[in-house]
Amino acid sequence: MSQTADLVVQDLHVAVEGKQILKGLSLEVRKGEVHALMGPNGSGKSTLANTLMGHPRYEVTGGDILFKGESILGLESDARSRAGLFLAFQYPVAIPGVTVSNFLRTALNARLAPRVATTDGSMPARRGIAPKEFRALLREHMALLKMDESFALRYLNDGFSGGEKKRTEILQMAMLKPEIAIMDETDSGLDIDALRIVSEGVNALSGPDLGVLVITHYQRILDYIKPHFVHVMLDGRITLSGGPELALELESRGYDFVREGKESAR
Amino acid sequence: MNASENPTGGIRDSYTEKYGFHDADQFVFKARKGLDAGIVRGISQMKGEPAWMLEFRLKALETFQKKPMPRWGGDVGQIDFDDIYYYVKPTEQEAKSWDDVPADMKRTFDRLGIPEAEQKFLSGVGAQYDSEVVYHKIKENLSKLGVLFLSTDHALRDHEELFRQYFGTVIPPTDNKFAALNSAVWSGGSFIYVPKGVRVDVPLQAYFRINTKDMGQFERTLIIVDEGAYVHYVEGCTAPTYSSDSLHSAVVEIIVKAGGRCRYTTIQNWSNNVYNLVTKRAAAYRDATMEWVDGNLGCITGDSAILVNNDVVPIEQIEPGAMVYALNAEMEWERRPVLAKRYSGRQQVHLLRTENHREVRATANHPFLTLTKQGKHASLAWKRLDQLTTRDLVAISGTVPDHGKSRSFEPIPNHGRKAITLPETSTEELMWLLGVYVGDGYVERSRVYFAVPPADKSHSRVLESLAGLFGVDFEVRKGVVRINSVSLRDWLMHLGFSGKAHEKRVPVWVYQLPREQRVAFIEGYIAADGHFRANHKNVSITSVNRALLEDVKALAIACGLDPRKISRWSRVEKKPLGKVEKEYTHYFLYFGEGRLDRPVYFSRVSAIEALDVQDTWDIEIEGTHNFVANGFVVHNSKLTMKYPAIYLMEPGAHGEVLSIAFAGKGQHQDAGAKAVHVASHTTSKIVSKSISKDGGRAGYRGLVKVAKGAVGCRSTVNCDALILDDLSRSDTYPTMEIEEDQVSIGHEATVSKIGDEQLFYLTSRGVPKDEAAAMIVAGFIEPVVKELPMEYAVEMNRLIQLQMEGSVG
Repeated sequence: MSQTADLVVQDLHVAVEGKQILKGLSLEVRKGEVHALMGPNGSGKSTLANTLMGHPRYEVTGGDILFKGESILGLESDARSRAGLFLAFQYPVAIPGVTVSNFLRTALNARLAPRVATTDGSMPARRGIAPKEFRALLREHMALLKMDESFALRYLNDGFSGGEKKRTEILQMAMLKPEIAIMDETDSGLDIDALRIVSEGVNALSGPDLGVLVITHYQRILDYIKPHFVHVMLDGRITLSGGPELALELESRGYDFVREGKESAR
Repeated sequence: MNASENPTGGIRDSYTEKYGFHDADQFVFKARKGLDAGIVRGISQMKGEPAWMLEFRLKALETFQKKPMPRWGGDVGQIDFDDIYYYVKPTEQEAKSWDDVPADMKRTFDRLGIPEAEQKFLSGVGAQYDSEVVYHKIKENLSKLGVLFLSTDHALRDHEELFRQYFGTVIPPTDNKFAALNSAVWSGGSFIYVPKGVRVDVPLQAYFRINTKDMGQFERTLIIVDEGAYVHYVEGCTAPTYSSDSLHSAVVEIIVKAGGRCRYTTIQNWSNNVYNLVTKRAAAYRDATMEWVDGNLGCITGDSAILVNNDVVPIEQIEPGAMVYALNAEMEWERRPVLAKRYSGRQQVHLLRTENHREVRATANHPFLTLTKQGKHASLAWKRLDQLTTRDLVAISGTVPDHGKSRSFEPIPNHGRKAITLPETSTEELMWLLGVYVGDGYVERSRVYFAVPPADKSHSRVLESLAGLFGVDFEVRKGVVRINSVSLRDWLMHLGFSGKAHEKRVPVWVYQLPREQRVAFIEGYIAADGHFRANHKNVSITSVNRALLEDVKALAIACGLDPRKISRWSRVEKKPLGKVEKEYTHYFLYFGEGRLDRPVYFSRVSAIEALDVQDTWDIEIEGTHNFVANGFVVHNSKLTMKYPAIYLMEPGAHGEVLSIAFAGKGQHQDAGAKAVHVASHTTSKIVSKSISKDGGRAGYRGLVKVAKGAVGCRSTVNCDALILDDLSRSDTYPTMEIEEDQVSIGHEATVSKIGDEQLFYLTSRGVPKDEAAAMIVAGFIEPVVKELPMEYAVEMNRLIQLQMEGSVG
């Protein structure tokens, strides 16, 4: 385990359209770790997820985000992705006319090809993944998520059910092999079977090379994905951190006990 | 690579690089420039045609010369028909092997990848170079089945009977001016005959190349798909990037017999100085299917037509750069620059009058904005003048934004003995007084008179104004206010006010004033010459000078007032002491009761009268394509003729049109279609995808027509527009002419913008922003692109990608 964590969030302040949402959030995630970030609606969970990924609408007004030791605040979302960060969306948008397969190949090629000009200024020839190799890789990962092969030719998230969308998110995660993955309320809108399949997918990907930040409102998903750390978020910052037992306590006592604790601490 | 500085640079540069080359001119025969019977005879003779064809050509030439320029036919006013080569014969004969094609020409087609494509994925290829087909070949197995794929000239020679049976039956030369032109000078094109039950599964392709400068290419394509047969025909076109314009005016006739199916795919990528005026029409018979797939990447720039703005300038005086008012998609007025003006020749014009007495003179094909009510729904559509009836409501201008400025007056030399003050700028008070002058003022010798007697309620205000504005002395004699001032007289003349009642006009600068000053001027004029009729709330103005009343009416329209008709009244009488009878003629201008405060109103057409032949003009407006002519909202005239049409002739016939249009900076791309349900139980489907960026305007324009008695027809129209930035626009002009109740017509239009969320989603997977945007665009057109042959789909996507480079972020 390295000295500095792979993802370090330092005293992060974020505003959306002038409104301050995150008010000094700090968090560290290392590869191999599974963190759960829990909090009631409106506590700023999704804001954290979008800010980490570089959504242009979220304005960082203070603090820093370090990834592998360097600040990524100046990087666009595509560069952050290629650096090894991944966000599984709460509400993945549809891209009509673009097949899952075509999209994944483009995304994969985007990280395989060097994007810097050579010394003489010319762009290096693009080295993409061979179609045959790609198809094999895709098939393999789709099997893992129990997805039908015809899925690859459907238009991305277009007309997908909630479960299909979330599975597609995990498929993308599996194909792109990030170092740190943020899962924004992946459990929302899933029935119990879909939740199990998605969780199994995440578990299969977990290991020493992947750090996971599971953002959730409910404890439910944590029955399937076992976190090493649990953080409770209230009003734009983390107010309580602990081990897996904290999630259970939240489940039985609700977020109010954290709020009360916060009150009494003052 | 920073394409954002030159957003259209991508595709244009790429066009020049890829297709813009041209070979040194080479030909075995080149007719002189210009068009007359001699040229037509020459072409026919050169081709060794039968007499009936020569006759057909000469008759078509006559029709061409007689027909007026179609305004719908695109921005055609600048075509100089005398400066075009109508016939350039590049080789002695058509080759069946690429080895027999002259080396230079073969190189051209090699560069365009034609022989390679033939090898890989085509059943047969025709290649036309200027006027003649230089190569034509079909796979042997198909010709054994009786499939004919020849140049049209060749077909006339070898299969005259078959040819004559169908030629000119779908599009007669009298259909439109360009169809007549093509019929007179046609040369080349493809002739396809697919016998009963034969399926040609691999596409046949023809490739059209204009090489000679100032060349007109007039190919003629005739496709006959016999009962139960199938063919897919692909045409591709390019031209070198010459600085002067070329003309491409093809006629494509297709007959699909019972149970047959024909698909016609066009990939047009003309350089933007090619006028592309093509008439394409198919007739589909019982249970037959006709499909048009149209990928348009070439540029069709803005359109054209007539008149005016706030300044109310006659169209012939408008110069490029002038700002005119145009209606935007939100039905609000905005100012747009005039890009070009041109003289459209002397043409038959018609007078269109509305119930509120707006009048305009325009050619029969000029489009007007109309409101059509069907039950609870109202829809807007552009209709040609000759399609209007007295049931139609046409758009008229109400109040346009006020961009007027007060007028500054330069001092003029003071010859007067008595010094007077002259105003430095126009004011409401001054304009009111000048309005009174136009009604009741006159000049004699060194004096200025106002015939406003003390009994008139304006009398005291006139006196106050004269004193306040000019500080002049005046006297009132015999009820007339008299000012003895050479300076005032000269100043009035200098400003353009005549001293005599018959010669008075509203000076041009008055139209350019702020609205309130213009209104004050009209009020002054009304104070002098206006009166209320008994039992009427509205005012009318009387004058002996009709031209002056026309001026005032135009000014009132520009102010958002509601002037109505100008009527004439004459009486003949003898003066008590005179011997001669004299005719006195007066004109009345009536006003409506209120102001027209909203931007646009609709008024019912009350009359359309044919007038004589007059000079006509067009102007071209940037971005938008409409403007205000005599208070009417009219559209630029261009409707390019590349909209394929399908006539569904017998029950069970089905037609489809799929099209894509991409408009970049300065471009106006229209895509569309025409489906005419002639018979009962026929179906049609139109899918139009348009993309606009960098201020481009793309749209759909189309017509679905169901003839009376054609029951049980179904038609669906889907127009989807994708707008890539806030500068760009999309227009949809669907027109439905449904003369039968028992039909099902669906129309769906969507307009979407590339969303931030879509971009974020794709970029969060590592895809760079411009690539992500291109991906969204490619996805948008995918439903049409997937219908293209694979090689074209790839090319289409590549071109879209070029267009998109550096366009976001």
